[in-house]
Amino acid sequence: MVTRGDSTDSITPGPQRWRAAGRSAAAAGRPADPTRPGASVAARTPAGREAGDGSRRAAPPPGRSGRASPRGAPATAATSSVRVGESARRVVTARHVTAPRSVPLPCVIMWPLVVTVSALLLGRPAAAAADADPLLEKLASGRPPRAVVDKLEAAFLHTLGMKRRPNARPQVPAYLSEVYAKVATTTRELNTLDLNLPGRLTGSANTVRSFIHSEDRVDWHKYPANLQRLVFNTSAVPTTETLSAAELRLWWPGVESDASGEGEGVAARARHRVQVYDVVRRTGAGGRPVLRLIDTVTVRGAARPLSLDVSPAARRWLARPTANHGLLVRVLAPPGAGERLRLRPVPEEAAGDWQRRQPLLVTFTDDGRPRARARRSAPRSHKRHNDECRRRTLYVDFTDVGWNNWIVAPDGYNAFFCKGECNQFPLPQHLNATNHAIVQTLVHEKGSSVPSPCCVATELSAISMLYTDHSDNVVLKNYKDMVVEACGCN
Amino acid sequence: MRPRWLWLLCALWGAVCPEHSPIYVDNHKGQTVAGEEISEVDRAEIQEDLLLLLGLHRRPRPAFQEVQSSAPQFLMDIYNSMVDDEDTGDLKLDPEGVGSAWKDFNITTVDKQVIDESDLIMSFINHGSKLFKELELPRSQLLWFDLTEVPMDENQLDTSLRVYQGYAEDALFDYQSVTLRIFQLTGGEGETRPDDIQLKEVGARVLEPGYVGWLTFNVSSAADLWRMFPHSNLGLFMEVTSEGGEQLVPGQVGLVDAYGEQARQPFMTAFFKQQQLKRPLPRLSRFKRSPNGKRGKKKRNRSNSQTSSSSLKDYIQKQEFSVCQKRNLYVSFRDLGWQDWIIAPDGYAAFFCMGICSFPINSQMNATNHAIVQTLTHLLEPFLYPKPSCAPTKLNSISVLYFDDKQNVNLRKYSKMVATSCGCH
Repeated sequence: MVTRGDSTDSITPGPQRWRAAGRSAAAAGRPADPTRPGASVAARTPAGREAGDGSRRAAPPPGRSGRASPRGAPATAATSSVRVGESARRVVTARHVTAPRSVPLPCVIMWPLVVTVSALLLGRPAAAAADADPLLEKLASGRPPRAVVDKLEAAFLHTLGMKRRPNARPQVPAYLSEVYAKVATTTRELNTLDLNLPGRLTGSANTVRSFIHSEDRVDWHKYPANLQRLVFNTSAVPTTETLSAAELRLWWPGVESDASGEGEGVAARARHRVQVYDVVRRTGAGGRPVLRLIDTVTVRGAARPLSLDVSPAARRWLARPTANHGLLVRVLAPPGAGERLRLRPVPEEAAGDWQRRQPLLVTFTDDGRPRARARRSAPRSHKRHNDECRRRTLYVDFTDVGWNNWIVAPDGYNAFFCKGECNQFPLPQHLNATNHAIVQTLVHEKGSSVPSPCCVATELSAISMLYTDHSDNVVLKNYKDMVVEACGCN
Repeated sequence: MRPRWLWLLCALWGAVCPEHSPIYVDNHKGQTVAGEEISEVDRAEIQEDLLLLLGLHRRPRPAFQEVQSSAPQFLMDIYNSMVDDEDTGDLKLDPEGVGSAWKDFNITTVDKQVIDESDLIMSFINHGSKLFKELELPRSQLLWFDLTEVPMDENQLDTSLRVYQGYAEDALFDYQSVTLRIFQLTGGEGETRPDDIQLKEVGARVLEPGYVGWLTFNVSSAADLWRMFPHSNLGLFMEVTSEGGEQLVPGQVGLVDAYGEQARQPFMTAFFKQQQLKRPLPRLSRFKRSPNGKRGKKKRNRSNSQTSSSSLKDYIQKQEFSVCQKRNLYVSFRDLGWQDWIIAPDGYAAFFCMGICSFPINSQMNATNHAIVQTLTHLLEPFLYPKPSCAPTKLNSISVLYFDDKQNVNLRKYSKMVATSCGCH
């Protein structure tokens, strides 16, 4: 049994074995290693909910502080959670080995691991674990080979369209967090992968990427204050994705409250014109760059972000990454209005302020993965047998597997899983059996080598995720088939 | 191999000898072979369960099978023009309009919608000339369809009467317009005497000179009534009149009546859609037969016949540990002895999914994102969370063309019958 954290306040009932493989380092600030041995996905029930009820509706993931089990721990099992300080992300969880006798042996050989106390999720009395198999005991002391977790992570990364794990977790642009908050709610409601953002031609896009200009390629000194070249490294966008929109977001600081003097009044009324050019060639005929004007906005008044459509330029860069010479932003202010648009940092400015206000390139792309299908409504309430195929709770905590380094949000989610028997006769209607499953049951029954149908997800829904790619760009993407909505025999 | 004399003996003794299995399974050597021989009891059970699945309560026994007339031809054309919808796996009429269904039967886009939406299409052949011998009306223009086989629990989408208009030999058309009217025969309460019968117009069409093809009349309201009250079904009457109100013989203007060419005779089709998702419950019958529901008897049967193919079974069992993939499974209607009522197909390939879904997950496994997450959780906590299971990821429909007891041909679609791809869920 493995205890995560620096304290173990567990009840030790009867002959059960408890092992405190404490990793105190984990308690105070996690190391950025996702593959720490013992990393596990805990089966947690969201606060305030009954465990093991195979609850039909997705629940919001619990907050970091609300992870303690709301239920009274059964006599033979104990979960205790302690919040370790404000800075610590970890919640100490005490676990013990349960080794139900009915566990098929191949599973045991598969993974020597630790089991959380949530055995009651399976409706199986934890007392069955009282006398553990010696083999199990031996296996339980092992650690999950790091290579395995690495490979799984790689598989998961592959579905996210990345080749390897991104490094750290940079600052998330406020704009992207806003979009995430908006999308995270609509995705579940509409069960769509599309990012339906009003006013933007995002169409079928299901991925949003944000880029900050690469500092080393920003040549501040070469240009006058009202002219700036910004280079964004868009090479992280896979060539398989099609661009549906791209916008350049700039910060307009606004004009301070007027009434002071004549000059300010002029400034407040003055319209500033912002032009953005695509640098088609750095040096054309006569040594002058070849520019193409792609969007213009005029602005005055209060502080706000500006959005310029730079889709043609982004489309060109994605088609030919070597042709990316950046964008040229030009601000035309009336005489006396002064230069206001923020294109470069001011020396005395705090780093955080600049991060919020620096130019940002946002791309909306479609990775061409098939769309989620419309959700069917399935009959919901039924009498349940314990072993019958049904949906069960499974909360996947990205923090537990150390993936929170690159998955910015959510912290985890309720994935659910399907488990149970599909060999009842007759197959009850609520098991959502397909015609094919009925025929397969029949064939199986007649002594053939064909197996009986499996208890699998019949409806899956999508979630939104905010993560960083290996160029440290923050990406928002809707992922289909992440949450089990219904189970059935198939 | 059984000696020939034994087969002969079996032929004489029918019920006792084990029968050829109607189920063919992949033997993992690139061959699909018939399953073990099964007893007559097992075979009857398979038949019963499949009939329930097909939505039938008993096996139809048509007195004769006649597929040359217009009604079965119409359904056969539809059957041959159906294609799988890429996204949903449902059967749809081929939008390209290949096959003769479009041209010959004058199927409009509205008809196509109804055909695509329905899951049961029934065709009815005309029995009109056999009825109401006392009536004054010309018998060749009386139409009567047997609706007693129509299921009550299905939603009727549309019922239409189709009448064929051929080349008119008479030059009648040249100087006046001709109208074809369809009347519903209605009677009084209770016992209907010929004198009480009244005609109620349900459709009319001015014939277009020179048109050759099928004319369609919507007779849904009449069919609805007949379905609810079978006694009210007194049939339809087709009347052809000239501009001046003169009654004409249908043949005069090229219309084919009940005495006309078989393939062009008037017929009726009804389109149905199941009201809700209702599942046949296999093994219901078995519960009746053995109230305790145990299958001891059959287990014994199985162990007896097991010796013949035990090596094959071992082989298959070993193969179970190979990667999740689609395997062959064919259910033969012909081997069940059903070729006398199922016109098409002879059987269907259901396929099944088998294999393990363990780490590492590769691209062939068609794993869902959730399956990857579940694999992760399984690896971390194998006692709590099972591995993903190998199951169909896409299921297609099949359609079956069959006779009912009244020799009407039906076309029925069955969704999610064929596993077209497998994956880890």
